[in-house]
Formats: sequence, C-alpha cells, structure tokens
Amino acid sequence: MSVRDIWQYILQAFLVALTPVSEYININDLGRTMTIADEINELREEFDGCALVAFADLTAKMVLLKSSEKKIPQENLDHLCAEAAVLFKGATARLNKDAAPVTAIVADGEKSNIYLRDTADSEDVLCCVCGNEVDLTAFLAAARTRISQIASGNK
Amino acid sequence: MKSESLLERIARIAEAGTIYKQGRRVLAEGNPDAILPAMLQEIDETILARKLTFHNDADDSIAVIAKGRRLWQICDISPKSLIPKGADLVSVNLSGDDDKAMKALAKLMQNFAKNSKLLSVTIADTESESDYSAMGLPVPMLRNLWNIAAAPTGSGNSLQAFVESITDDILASAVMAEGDMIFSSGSDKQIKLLTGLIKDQIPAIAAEFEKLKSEDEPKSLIALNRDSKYFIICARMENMASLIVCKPDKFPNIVSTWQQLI
Repeated sequence: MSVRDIWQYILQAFLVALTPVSEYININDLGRTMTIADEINELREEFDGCALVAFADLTAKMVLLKSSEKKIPQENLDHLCAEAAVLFKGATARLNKDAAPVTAIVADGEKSNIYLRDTADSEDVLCCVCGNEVDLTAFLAAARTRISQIASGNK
Repeated sequence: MKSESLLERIARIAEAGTIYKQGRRVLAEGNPDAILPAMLQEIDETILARKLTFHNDADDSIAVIAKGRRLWQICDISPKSLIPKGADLVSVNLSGDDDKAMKALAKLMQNFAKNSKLLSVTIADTESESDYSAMGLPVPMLRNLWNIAAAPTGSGNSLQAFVESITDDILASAVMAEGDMIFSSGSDKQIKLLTGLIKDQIPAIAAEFEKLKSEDEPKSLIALNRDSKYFIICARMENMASLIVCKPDKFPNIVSTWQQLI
C-alpha cells in the first residue's frame, strides 16, 4: 500500500465522518428505513453477475460506500471513480451536445462498467460492474430507481 | 469477322480480373465454403432493384430480387428439389420475423451451395411495379442466419462490420479511419454532426482513456444517454472510431453485439 493510498483512506474516512447521518438514510415505500448501503446492497443482490455497486463522489473522485461479492482492490475503486469523472465531465461528456449525460457505460469483452447519476448536475454517482450475462435493460431501470431514491433521501 | 454475342463482348471488355463463363460473371470458384459468402457479397453490392440469378457448377440456379443491399424475394429456383419440403419461399416477400421461412431459406442455400465449387451470376433489371411492401433481409442478418462470418478484412473493417451488423438498431452512424469516413448511415445532417464530433472529440477521449490506463488496446465501447430519447455510442478499435446514435431500447443489444465481437 503506497503513502498515497493511506492518505486517500484518511481523506475518505474524514469525508464520511463529515457527512450527516441523514444523508445516508432514505425511507422506502413501505416506510422502512433504507440507507444508501441498503440500496446498493439490494441492487447488487438483485442481479446475478453484478460484481460491484459503489456510491461515489465525483468531485472527490472517491468511493464512499460499496457492495461487492469479493474484496475489490482500492486501485480498482479509484479507477472507477476516475472513469466516471472522465465520462461525466471530460471530453466524452462533450459528445452529448444537448445535455450533460446521466448514464454512461464502458463495455469491453467481459464486463460493463455502468455509471448513473440522478441529474446532470449531481456529484453523487452509482458505479456498477456487471458481467455480460446481466440484462442491461433491467439493470439500468433498477439502478435508475435506486439512484433516484438515494437522491430524494439527500434532498 | 468472327461473330460475337453481347455477353461475350461484355466479357471481353470487362475490367481485368473479372472472369466470365458461359456469359455469367464468376463470383467464386474452387472452394465450396466461398459460395454463400460470395452470394451475400453480391447482394450487399446491389443498391438498385435487380434480379440476380445465381448458378452453381451443377447448373442449379436461384433467382432473387435484391435492392438496397437487401434480399427481397426468391423469384425462381431450379431444380425445385432444392426447396425444403413444405416451404413457401418463391415469389413471397421475405421477412426476418418469419422463423419458419428463415430456416427454410437457410436450408435452401445450404442445398444450393453443397458440393458446389463455382458460383456465377447474371443480372437483369426487374419490373418497377414489384411489390416491395416488406422490408427485405439485410445482409448482416443473412450472415447471422446462415452462420457465415463477415469477410476477414482486418480489425479496422471489423469496426465497420460491427456498425453494419447493427444497422437495423440505429438511427445514424459514422465510422472514420484517420480522418476518412469509411461508412455512414442516417441523414446528411446526422452524418455531418457525427463526423464533426469524431474529428473534434475522439482524440481528446482517446487521450483521457490512455491516461486512465484502462486499456492496452482501445477496444472499448462507451455509451451515454444523449437525452431521454437517444443514446450516443462511441466505439473505438485501434485507429478507427465510430459514433452511433440509437434509441435506449436498442442499446443493450448493441452492447451485447459488441461484446461478442471483441
């Protein structure tokens, strides 16, 4: 683990500590308290082949919460955040001339990295990694609902 | 002076490399596996409505109507024994939605190509009043139905083949190689917009992803929702780049096709 990684951990813990608890709590339709952790856990568990769902901050380029089947190396999480920033704020976003994007996907032969934010100006982003077997249409619809729930809990 | 038929004259003045036998242009010779790909290639190069009559070395023939790079109708088959039992393929508009007909068509073509080592074609104008109310069968679909791989033309053209194979799912597309457009679909306005975006943005996108070190070779497909109505997709492969616009419901199929390709 490099010194940079250690500093990132410290900064991440600091940011999480600064975030009011209310920002991590939503109330679902049944009146049950839903934390962001619940939302991302449920989304991942809903789809076989979804290896990771993470909740990240675009400005800090940092994963704040994650749900994964296996332990994900920190550099992979960093990479997801950096990719999300490139897609939503970099040259790629300028492909979208009419409106800033709220959904972005990078697909290679084995998996898709899927990124969603609630609105074009939101800094909160869901970063998901799904295998080829995942039904993209269903996953995007479910993930869109989750990020909307999370955003509505933050308002 | 020796008398010369019109076909013989055409054969004589035809471009170098074109072979005629019995007044028919030879499309493939020597390899049975080359028969169906050559037939599809001929259909793929047919823009205006034409009646193409394909012959093999057993003098079997299949006459089809092709237009807009699609197969529309089977006009005639000789001998009739090539037709799979119970199939109704002649003089009907072919539809990709008719699974039974598609299986029969694939079987017919297998029967025609089986053990053949020569494919030749004659081309004639077709009646303008022909009924083209159906959509016809695009060549990429036929390749898929007949289990024929796209011509091995290098990785650059694989990107073109990918875009061609999803033509039915997209609204507009442009494929460029080092500043030259090699394929496009959609209206002139859409193509102009896409080629402009490729020229303006792709170098910056490539640089950003290179910085991320996310790929040893650029074979990624990036999709963004343009708004609630459209997705814009950027697919890159080595020195080629393409931009594709599609509706959201078509996008998963495009990603799946891409993942199978690479």
